[in-house]
Amino acid sequence: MVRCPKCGKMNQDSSRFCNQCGTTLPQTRTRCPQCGLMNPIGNAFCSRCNTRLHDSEFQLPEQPKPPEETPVGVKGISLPTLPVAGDGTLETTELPDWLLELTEQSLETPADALEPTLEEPFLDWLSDLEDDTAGEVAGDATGRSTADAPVPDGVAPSATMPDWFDALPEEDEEAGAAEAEVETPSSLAGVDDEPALDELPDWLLATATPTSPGDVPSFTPWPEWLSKNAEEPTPGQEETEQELPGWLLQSAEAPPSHASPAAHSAEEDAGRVVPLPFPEPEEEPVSETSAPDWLAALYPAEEPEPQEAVESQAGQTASSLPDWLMGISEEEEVEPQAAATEPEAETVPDWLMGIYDDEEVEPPAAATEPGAETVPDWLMGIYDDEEAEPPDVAPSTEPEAEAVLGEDIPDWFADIDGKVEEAGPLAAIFTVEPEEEEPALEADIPDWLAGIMVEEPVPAQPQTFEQETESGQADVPATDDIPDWLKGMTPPDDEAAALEPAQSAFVPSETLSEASEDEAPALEAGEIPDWIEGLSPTAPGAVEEEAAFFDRVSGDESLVRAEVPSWLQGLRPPGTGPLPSLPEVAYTDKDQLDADIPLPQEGGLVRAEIPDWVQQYRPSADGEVGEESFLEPSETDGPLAGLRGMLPSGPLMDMPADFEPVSLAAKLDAVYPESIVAQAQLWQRLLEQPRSVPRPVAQHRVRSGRGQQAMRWIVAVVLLAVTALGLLWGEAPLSQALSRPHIERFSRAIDALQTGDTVIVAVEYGPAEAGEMTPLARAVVQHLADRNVQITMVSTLPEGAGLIHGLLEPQALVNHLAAGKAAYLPGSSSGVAQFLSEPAEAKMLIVLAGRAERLRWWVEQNNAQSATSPPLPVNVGVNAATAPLMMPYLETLPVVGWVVGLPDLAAYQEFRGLTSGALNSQLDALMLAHWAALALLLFGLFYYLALGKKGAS
Amino acid sequence: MGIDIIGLIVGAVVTLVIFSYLLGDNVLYRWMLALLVGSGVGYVMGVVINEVLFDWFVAALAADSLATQIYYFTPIFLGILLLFRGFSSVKPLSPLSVIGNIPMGYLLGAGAGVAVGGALLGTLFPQVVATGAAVTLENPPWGLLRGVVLVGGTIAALLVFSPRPISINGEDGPWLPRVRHVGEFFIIVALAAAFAGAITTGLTLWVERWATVLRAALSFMGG
Repeated sequence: MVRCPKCGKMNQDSSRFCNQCGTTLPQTRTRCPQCGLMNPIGNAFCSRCNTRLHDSEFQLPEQPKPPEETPVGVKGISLPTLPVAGDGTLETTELPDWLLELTEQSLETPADALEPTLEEPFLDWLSDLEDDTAGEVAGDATGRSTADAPVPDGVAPSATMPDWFDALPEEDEEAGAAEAEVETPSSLAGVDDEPALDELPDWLLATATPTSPGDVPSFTPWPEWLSKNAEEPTPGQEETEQELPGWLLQSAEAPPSHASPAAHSAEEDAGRVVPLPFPEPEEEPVSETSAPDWLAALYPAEEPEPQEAVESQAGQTASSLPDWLMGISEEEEVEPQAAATEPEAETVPDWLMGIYDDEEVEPPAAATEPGAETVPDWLMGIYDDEEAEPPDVAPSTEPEAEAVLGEDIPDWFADIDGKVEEAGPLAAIFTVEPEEEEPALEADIPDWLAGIMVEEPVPAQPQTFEQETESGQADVPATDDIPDWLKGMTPPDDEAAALEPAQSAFVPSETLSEASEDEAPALEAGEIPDWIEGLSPTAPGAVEEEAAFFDRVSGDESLVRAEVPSWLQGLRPPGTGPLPSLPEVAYTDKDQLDADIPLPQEGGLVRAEIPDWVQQYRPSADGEVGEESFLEPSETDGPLAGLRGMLPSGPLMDMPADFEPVSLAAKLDAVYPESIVAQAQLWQRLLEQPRSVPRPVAQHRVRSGRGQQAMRWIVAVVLLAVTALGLLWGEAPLSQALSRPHIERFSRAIDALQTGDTVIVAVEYGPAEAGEMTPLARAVVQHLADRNVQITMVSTLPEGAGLIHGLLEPQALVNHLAAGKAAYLPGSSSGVAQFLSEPAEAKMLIVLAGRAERLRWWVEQNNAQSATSPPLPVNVGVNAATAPLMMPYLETLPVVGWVVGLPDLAAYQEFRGLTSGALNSQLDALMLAHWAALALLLFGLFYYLALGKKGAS
Repeated sequence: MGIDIIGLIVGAVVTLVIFSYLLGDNVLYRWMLALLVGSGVGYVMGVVINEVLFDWFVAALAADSLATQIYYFTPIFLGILLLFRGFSSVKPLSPLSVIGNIPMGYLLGAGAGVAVGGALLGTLFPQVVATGAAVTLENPPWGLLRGVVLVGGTIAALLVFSPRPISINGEDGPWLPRVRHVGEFFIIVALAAAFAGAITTGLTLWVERWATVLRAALSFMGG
């Protein structure tokens, strides 16, 4: 998406004009003229067909300047920021001195690409470097010195100036004067003295400019390796040059508008992965404004600051080489011979030579290609021997670089082995010299750098840059083509054989195709470190075989492979076997960080320990039988063991390939009880029937369990037995009726009635209570008849009228009701209230109630009549079920006495002097039944306590 | 063989069939249950129609004065309106069911008034008095202890059913939960007594029925 510089609307990359305001959009993609693919604007070659996208004079469109925004202060970050001057340049007052010196050096450069902004004088050591690397010092560690390099005017040669500054262009007088005013930092104190040539590291000497002053431009601050690519610009190279910043182009021989010739020279290599385009002293004189090739390939000419810095550095003599530059060079990469053979080659700085792989650099290759540009050693390590042959790279400079670097090659460069394919502007960075044989730099490679070297060759990565060389060459540079400075990038251990890369990191398409077609040339030992090999793109034919991959993986104990579910294994392609099972990762004593770490149990996963206090909350796994346990089965394993109603995660997540659902019938028979199945089937049939069809009521009833049925039989037999025993017991009565005060009061109250008194008898029980209440009612009626009173029997129950008839008829008694009144009293309590309000001159109210509510009506309404007349004395006769509920009423006025159930009836009769054998037998049977019921209750109590409620069911 | 004997035999048979429920639910038991319910409903209908409606209609028709007629026909008229309540499920006549609310309101209002008066005068006041009167110095110490226990139990039982009072500190006092527990104990005892009475009634009926069956059998056998 491309943002419109005017309105800010996001447009598609292929849009030329803004869809909202119509502004011409900066192009971010360019169409390939051959295949039509839209490539990023920065690509020089098409990603698909490798066609050159831009001509040599193509310049990247200016990116639309973002709208001016007020700088937002970053809070919380204490990093220093460089203030920006009004013209967009940096404030010189805030820059370090060494950078200022570099800037001034660039300011004095007449190159158009240079935009000197720094006016501060440079450090002496940088100025010395510049003097030394004036384009005349070759990469000769011994013969050349920084003193040979042209020193900018006004700049005192510094003994500590790195050699790579020797190639930097010469300062102008102004820059020299400015530099003289530079304060030397304390860290660089004492570096003003120009060191002796012997003391200079080889890599610095290698960066010396060509000896021939004529060949050296007036300002050649760049070492040869930096400007080795400053050749005649080719179409492809020119455009690369255009992409270089100005400060990088200062050392380029080509016009400032052109890119660094180093980059172009690198591009000329057909498909080679060339290292950084270090200038080749033999090939071209380093111009004053020529930037190092590797730098020239990077940036366009509009960045003066780094350019100036480099220039200022070039202006410094080698005598001003700071300690940090001195110490990072490697001696092993120094090859005086190679340096001598290329006197014109620029000296590779020691700190860059340190990354040079000795094994990959081949001095013969370097010698045989004098025209090749010198690739910095530190970049040679990423050079792919198979695919990149930088002819521009000066093999001769590699020995020089090695000679110069010597033992000062920085460690972090030691392992940068590998070959990087040239890819447009960035190709210059990753161009490597042809491999040259160089002694390994094992001794000087620090540990931290040695440790990052991969022993095993990793599979080649997909290439990120594809470059088609102009010459169409896709030759993989031979090992001999590796520049010297990369040859020094050997691991500390002599494991050069293990460093054979399978493929370069950046391979052009043609190179890849050729590489896939041809056999992968075996790399020499130690050419490319493994960690760079891993960056190389994967060629179609170079993919590690599956079997080899698994073999390697299975042998690697550090890898833990997850378990593949069975349903996923079923998806494997036909003809392939199951994945080999990896041994479970076992932690050895050495690997265990803690002795308590348990061994992994499943698929390499380590089961965590559950604390004890969590364990106690784990539900018990004891299952429950019955339908409830079936409907919510409990988990049987895992951390959820014992819990019910859990979602079955296993069947959902791990569906096997050969899963076949169990048939419904088999499942029902095997799992579900018959009762559940029957109910489900019944529901199903009911739901399937149409609405018009009358749905029958389910006749099927749930049969009780066998335990319940057995208990029923036991209770029935026991009760029947005792009842029969009591009824048929002909001997002396087993029970005795106990007389109670309330029974006596009841009897005495009736005895107190006079002849002709009216007694209201309320028969408030139904046929269900008749078995218990009828004997009581008959006894009461008999007693009233014996007193010759007038009985008025009423009932609020409709069926009570029939009972009243059955009570009065045997006694030949008449129900004295009012005219037009019936025995049935409708209206519940209202009817009672109405009945009691009528003047009846009644002397007593006897309520024979089998239901508590009925009794309450009579008692309440009788008490409510107290406003008009005193309440009638009430005698109550109730059954055993009603008595406890009505006891509060029974013990309050105006209730006189009461008789409860069969026992009180027997006592009432006995009190009256009446005995009845039938009543006694029934009483005996009732007593025995009570005992039997008590025994059965106790038995059931202990039974359910022992088995539990659900267990007994 | 008189009707009494027949009735006695039929009763015995029905009793035994009802007792067959001990062995499990069966169709004979359901038949007898239906017979009981049906006969009872039929008898009720007969009694209501004969002794209420018929006599009322006759009296209303025989009324000689208008006031008497109004007196007798007003309940009849309200009863007919009450019948419209049964049309609520019949869609064409469902709007007319509203008419039955008039006599329904009269019945509910009159019945509630009578019931409230009876509850106050016949239950609340006498019960409160009787509870307090239980605490007597007659027949000490058991009479007094009985009275105290009676009063205390009554109060505790009432607190079980009473709503929870608003506490100042958001928590109940320490005494309230304990009193509630005491009241729950008395309630449990009362319910247990009611349950025992229900068992006794059932056993009494059981015994009486078997006695009837035996008597019938003996008389049938004895002639």
